[in-house]
Amino acid sequence: MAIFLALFFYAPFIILFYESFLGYGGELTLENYLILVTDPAYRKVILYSLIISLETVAATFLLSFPAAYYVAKLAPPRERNLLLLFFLTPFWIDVLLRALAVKSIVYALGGTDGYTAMMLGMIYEYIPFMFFPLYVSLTRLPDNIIEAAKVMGASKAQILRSIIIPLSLPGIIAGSLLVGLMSMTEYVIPALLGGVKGFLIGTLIYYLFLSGGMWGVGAALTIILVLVLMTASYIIVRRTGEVIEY
Amino acid sequence: MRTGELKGVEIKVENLTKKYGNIVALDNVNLVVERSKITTLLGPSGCGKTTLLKVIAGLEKPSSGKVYFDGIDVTGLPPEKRNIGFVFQDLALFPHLDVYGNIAFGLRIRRYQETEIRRRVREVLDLVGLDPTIFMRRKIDELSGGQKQRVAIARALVIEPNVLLLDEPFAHLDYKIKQRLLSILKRIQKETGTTVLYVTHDQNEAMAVSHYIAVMNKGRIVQYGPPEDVYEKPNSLFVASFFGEVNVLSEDPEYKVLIRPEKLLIDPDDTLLPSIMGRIEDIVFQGALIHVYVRSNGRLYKVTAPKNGRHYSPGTLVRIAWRPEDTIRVRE
Repeated sequence: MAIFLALFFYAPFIILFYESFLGYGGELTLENYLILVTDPAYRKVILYSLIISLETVAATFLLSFPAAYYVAKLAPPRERNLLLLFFLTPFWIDVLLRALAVKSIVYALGGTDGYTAMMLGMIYEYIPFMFFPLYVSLTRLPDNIIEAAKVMGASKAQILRSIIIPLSLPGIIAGSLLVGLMSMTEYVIPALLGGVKGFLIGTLIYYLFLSGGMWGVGAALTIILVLVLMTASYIIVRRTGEVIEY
Repeated sequence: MRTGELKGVEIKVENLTKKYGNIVALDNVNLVVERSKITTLLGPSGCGKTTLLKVIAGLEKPSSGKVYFDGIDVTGLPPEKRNIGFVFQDLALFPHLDVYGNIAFGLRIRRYQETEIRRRVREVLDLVGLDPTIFMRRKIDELSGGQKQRVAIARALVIEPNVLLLDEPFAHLDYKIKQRLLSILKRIQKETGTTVLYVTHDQNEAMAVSHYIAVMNKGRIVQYGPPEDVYEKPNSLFVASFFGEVNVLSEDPEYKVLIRPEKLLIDPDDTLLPSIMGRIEDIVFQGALIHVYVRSNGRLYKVTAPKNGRHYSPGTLVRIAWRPEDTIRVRE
């Protein structure tokens, strides 16, 4: 495992890291990083990717939270397992096939808008990564705590705001980070479903390396993304540790 | 919270039945919980006492029957509209809030001013015997078991509830802390004048704390009365044996005659008392008391007496006697 990772992840990563500081003439420079921040074209793609990923987080959260709450808190135990199975089954199917299915459905329904198709595809792919952390957090929330808030006079909205959401925060953070980061670097779905609206960071890196021949800038962008991912993974691991302790 | 500030309501439950599928948790229960008194629901686990408490709180809907607060039908009222204090068995303190946040929760819901909230939280912490300056900002996981109990009671009391409901709150505490909390509960009840309904399976707790005891078994209230009455005049073998130990003196298909171990006498001077002869089988010392087990006609009798200098030794033949007025006759 260690050798495998060293060969296919860390070694290329070090090479990329070196590459990201190389100018056109082979000299060492910071230009590749600076251009990402200063060139409006790059900035636009990065910003757009960020917005798409935030939208994916928001949509998967709004869809998952009520479902996770129902399965974790309201469903009778027998129904619960059935629902979880029902929820998991679609995700045994490969991403590519699911993306193509979304595409056919959107076309069949008469939609041609790349943005809608892409968003549907993103939500479809990432919803389990939001649902399961939320579900785990909510199952750990004791029913008595909700009852205690009720007898103290709290309405449903007040209980949601001041008890359920704060106490499922570890799950919300973990789910949002997972979905946010994965959707920001998503390549397959925007490429297949997005059309012109599908030009995200993943697409940008692809072009920089394979069409544009701008290896230095591509490497710089990749390094930034990997560092962001690592920081976020660290937060998730720490947060998840907290969930287990709680 | 000054003396007599909480008036407390009278709770009446009428023909209350609660079924879970085929299981009958409450079977046509009728009970009046007296205003400004401590009433205990006492019974073994699974007897329906917690279900009854939750129905009164509105956390469970009855299958049939009514609940009244001061004569007003509250059966359909949700828990958040009943103005009750509830102390849960596992306390259910909010782990993400500190002591202050937990106690202030109900007051914030009621939209009190922050200065007023601060005043009341301090007052109620004083009432349960926790120093506000030390404990207000403590996190819940920094508290000991007994301190958590006090916070839970303070949180239930601070909203000035109509009734304080407690579901075996002291079950997992050691004896000394339990005694102290029971006396705090009694003092609080006296000072505030609130109505208290207390659930326990421990007859000693019930005896120590209650004005009235309702003994429950299999979803029914089998006996109700002041603690001394229930102890001295149990109406069934179930109640008699639940309330400490009893010896069976005689039985026929309809009645059993019972007597408490401390009412039996060994070799009394009065030779006219009814008595039986038996052989001492075992002797157990417990503090100032001595328990003597005597076998007679194949039956084992337990006699509890104060240590009074008399010596008993196993194998000795003794006469155990009783006063007829000390016997308990129950229909079975």
